[in-house]
Amino acid sequence: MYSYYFKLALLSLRKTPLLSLLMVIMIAIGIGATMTTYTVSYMMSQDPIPNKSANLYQVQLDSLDYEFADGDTLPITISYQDVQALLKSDIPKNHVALSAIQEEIRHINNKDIEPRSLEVRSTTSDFFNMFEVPFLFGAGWSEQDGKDAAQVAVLSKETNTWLFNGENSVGKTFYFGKDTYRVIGVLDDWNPLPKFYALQNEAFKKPNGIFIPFNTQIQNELLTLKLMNNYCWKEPDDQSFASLLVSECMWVVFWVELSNKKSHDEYQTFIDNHAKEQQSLGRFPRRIFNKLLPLKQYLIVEEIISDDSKLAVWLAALFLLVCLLNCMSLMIAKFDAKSGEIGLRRAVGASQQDIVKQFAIELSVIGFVGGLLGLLLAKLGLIAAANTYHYLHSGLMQMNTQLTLGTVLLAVISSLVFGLYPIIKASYMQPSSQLKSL
Amino acid sequence: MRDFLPIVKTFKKKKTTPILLAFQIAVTFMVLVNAIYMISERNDLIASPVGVDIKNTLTVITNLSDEHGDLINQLEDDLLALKNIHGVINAAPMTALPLEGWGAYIEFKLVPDEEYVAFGGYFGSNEDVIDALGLTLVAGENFSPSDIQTAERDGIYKPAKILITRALAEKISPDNWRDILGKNIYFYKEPHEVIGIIERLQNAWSSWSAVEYTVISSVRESNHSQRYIVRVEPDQMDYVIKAIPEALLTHAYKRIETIEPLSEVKKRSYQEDLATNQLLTSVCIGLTIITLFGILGQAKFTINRRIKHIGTRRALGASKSQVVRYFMLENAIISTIGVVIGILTAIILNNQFVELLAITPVPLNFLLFGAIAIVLLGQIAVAYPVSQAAKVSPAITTRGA
Repeated sequence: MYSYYFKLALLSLRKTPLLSLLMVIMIAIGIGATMTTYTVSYMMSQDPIPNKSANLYQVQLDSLDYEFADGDTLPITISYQDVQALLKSDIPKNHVALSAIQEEIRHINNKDIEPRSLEVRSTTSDFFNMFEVPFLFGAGWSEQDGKDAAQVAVLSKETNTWLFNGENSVGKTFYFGKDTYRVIGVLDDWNPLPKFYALQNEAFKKPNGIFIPFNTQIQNELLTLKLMNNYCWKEPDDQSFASLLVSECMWVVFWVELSNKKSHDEYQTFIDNHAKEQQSLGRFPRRIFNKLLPLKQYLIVEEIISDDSKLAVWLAALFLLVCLLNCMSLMIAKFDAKSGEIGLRRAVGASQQDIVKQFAIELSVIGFVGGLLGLLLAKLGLIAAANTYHYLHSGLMQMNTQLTLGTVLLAVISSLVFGLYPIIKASYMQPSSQLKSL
Repeated sequence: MRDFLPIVKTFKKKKTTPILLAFQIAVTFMVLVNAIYMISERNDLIASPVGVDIKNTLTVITNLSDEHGDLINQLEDDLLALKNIHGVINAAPMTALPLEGWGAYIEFKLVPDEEYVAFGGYFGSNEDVIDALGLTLVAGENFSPSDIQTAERDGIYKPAKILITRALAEKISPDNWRDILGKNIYFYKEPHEVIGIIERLQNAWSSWSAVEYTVISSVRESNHSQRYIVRVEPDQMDYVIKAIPEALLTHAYKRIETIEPLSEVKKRSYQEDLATNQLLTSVCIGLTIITLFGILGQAKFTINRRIKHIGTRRALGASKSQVVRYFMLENAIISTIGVVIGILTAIILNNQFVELLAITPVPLNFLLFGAIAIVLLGQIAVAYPVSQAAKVSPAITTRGA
């Protein structure tokens, strides 16, 4: 039965090639535009670390002496003195302090390799474990190395390719500014989207090319103001690095992993107690208001997904709507032209349901072909989008399997939904009315 | 106009296609009007002047090194080298660059320990800053060399003489902006004496509401990653950019992080707006084409269905122009209905739109212009099929069914 309808559908498509082609093109353009913008927006709002996102929290402390923003929002960074205290706790499964610096990286003796000024992530030893960072060679530094401010580094795959030709470079040394650092690990491809752990303005940029222990940054007094979110609400005593460390300046991002409710509550008590203790020493002048902001909420509060991308999806959806309305007019025209055939089929015994089935299959075929073409257009659209949004991560402009299947499905379903009315209308045709004119 | 009633009557008989078309026009209208308004808003924003001689200004970021003596001496050497390049008008150190997207922001107080009266962006530089950026001084005077202080970092905390933008002066003393001259503005509890007012200078963040509220302090800073601003004579940009590395890289430790025209910095700061504009423009073009096709297709369809009807009218004495008028009017009515639905929806859903998409509502004159444009567009689209319809021969009525 269905294969017969399928044959009929193909026959009908061949009979009205122009009209059918126009319908396919309408659906394809609408689907293409919608899926291009939706892909970008969908990839932006992906869960960057699905296995763990429920257990990751950003620590925010209100150590200010006046109200920040609307009072409920706090700076995303905390002061170095607080970092030191928080790192002593053993309640969280993992905890990570991070900042960034810019430094010139040079090969130890090969003059042919141009030195590069790279953005360097400085962080604590739990970073790689906590954020599920994959290693190609070696591993991250130990807790002891971190404490000792060892001059070791983890390179990204890209940096390793540039500096060491992609070989296993563990144990090799290179110039980090004026010092020599030893490679301790090389990462495999790693592109969390969004790059949730860092500052808001780098959410859709690649992870930094090189990682060093946080204490090594402190020990060597390295600072790049441009890469920090330094909230200095109270003037440090002087301009030295040492007074920055003991100042109220808030510049370190701090994340913790808390596996269950119990450790979450324990940790909340711990940071509140820390604040109270500091209050008795004259800090935290306003209130005890400390937050463990869950990762997902952090992404919303910091508005990582831009309004522009939401807007684009809405515009594209309206675009699709216009295309489908257009398609609907075409369907009516198509079925209108076929009224003779419908009348004849009804007269020789086809029921209304049979007519509905037949045309539904015909529309599904059109929708399916439109969907495939739309998929192609969406891929082209994404290439164009990657060009337009050249400053964003190219990983945003790629469709995964779900989206690919969803595209075709959306095309079929939407053409059926918008075809419902024309189909039903056609099936109500009285056999007699058409037979007369045959 | 006497065609009006017959047209409305045919709508009653065959409603689906005109309703679909009207609805389609309503959506197209809403999207087009909103998108074009957003594009023009963004274009205005991108076109807003930075306040500097943007065509002839470039920026250099280079390193100062602790191991090679006093940072300030290195800074002076760099400045001297830059100023000596042929074609350079002046050069000055800056703590950050206009529209760079990074810098210091401060809250301005008239009395320390009281509520702030404004907030804005901060730059620190020296007496050459006005000349090196090509700023316009509208009141007061420039720094004199004796005003200039030096800091390694955090010059922001030093009491100093400052220049402020006129926008900031107007914000702080709305009655007469010149009144602020000679007075102190406090930030970080230190007094800063306003000695000059400049016409305009945008600070670090282009999308910030306080982008026009800028102070330049007379404290120059020496940073490990040091920014300079260089103004060149007209048409000397390329030459100077090529000459800078040779002039600055006098020692082995010297590196240049970037040399680029300030116009590039500005372009980068608006890259998101530019990209969005591109996207909106392509949506507009695509939508217009699709809708034109829709109108064309619908007109062709209704005309095909009414070939006989047209023939009869022609046989009964209607002229070609009357047939044309009939179908043009039909299309105009449908377009108008669509546009009216569009305007009503826009007005009713206004608040939801604004909230959901964070867009500003479209002003009324935009809606009216859009409405007229859409109706005209419909008339153009319908012109070809209608001219075909007028060619229908009256003789068609004489043929059998």
